[in-house]
Amino acid sequence: MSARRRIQAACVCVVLLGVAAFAIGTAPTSDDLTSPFYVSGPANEPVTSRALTVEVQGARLAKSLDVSGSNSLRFSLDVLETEQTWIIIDALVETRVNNVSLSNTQLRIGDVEYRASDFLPAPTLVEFIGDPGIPVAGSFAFEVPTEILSVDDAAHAQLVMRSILSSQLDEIAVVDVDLSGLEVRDIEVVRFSEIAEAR
Amino acid sequence: MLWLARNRVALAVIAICVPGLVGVLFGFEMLSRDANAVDVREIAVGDSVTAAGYSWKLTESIEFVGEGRAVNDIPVGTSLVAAIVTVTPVDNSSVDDTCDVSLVGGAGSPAGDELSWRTVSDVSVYDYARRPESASYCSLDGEPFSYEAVFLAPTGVYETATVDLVFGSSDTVYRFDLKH
Repeated sequence: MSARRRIQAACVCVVLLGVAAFAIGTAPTSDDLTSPFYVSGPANEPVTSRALTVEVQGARLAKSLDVSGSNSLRFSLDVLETEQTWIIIDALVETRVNNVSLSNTQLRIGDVEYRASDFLPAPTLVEFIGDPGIPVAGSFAFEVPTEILSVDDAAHAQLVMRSILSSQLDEIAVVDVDLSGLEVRDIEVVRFSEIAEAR
Repeated sequence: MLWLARNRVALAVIAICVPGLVGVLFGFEMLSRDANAVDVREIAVGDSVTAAGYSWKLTESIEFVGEGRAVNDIPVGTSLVAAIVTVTPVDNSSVDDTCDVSLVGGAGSPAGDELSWRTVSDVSVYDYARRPESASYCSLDGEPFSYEAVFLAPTGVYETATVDLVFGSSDTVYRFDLKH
């Protein structure tokens, strides 16, 4: 091979390496390729994803939860207290596919996501496994640090309706919830799940 | 010809490896799909089917349209659907097992998948009472029995719905048409 051809081959290699480096540097990450599709909407309006339709009907803050309305025989307490703050989100949920679980529902405030409390007596929406086309009204309860409600992020909280924790390439309904300015009451009643009448 | 002679080994390797690779990549996928395939057997109204050593026949079905909790305890927009399946051992091959039933129908999911509804465990919530002779669960023990499955589904589903019955981990679905 002549010197000229060697130089040409070396140049081709350098160019190819450059192209490869550019492709690797600009390629989407695995998270980018498989991240979920968020479908956002405001409270008091239906927000529909592939799996469900959710309408947030209100938000309440309290130091204690009245859970005396539960039909659970394994739960003896009527009141659940916290040294922080309970956020109760009242919602209407209707599933559009089979076997949708809401146990991974989260409340996003700023950069932090809080999972809905799963130790309340049944039936809250956390235990909900919907039958398609049947609307169910109920509550999610989140126990959060009190100080997080005093920052600006509280006005832009979001209810994230994950049907599974890792909802890759799936639609997730996200509802904007304004928690700013809400009064923190001593006690609020948890709305236990029941089938809602058609409107 | 000289080129072919010089590269015959490489060509032979390509001829073997490429189809082999394609076979490994797609063959296993196709095999696993076949393994997950469900065998659906449709049973028309009035017909019976023999499975697991029992004869199965849907003898009755009925819909109660929701008029509101204040009227009939069934929410507006939903219907309570009851189906009675009589189960009779046909020979000594009957096995002890359980079965799962679901109501299947409706317009389908947004992706076109079948929608299904589970049985209601506490039917008294809807002011419904099973017949005294009916069982509320499907447990096979060699004795004849009448299984009364109750579902809550959106109103309108009943018209085209079927009752699907599956034994244990079987891949066969017995799909009963409802009596209208």
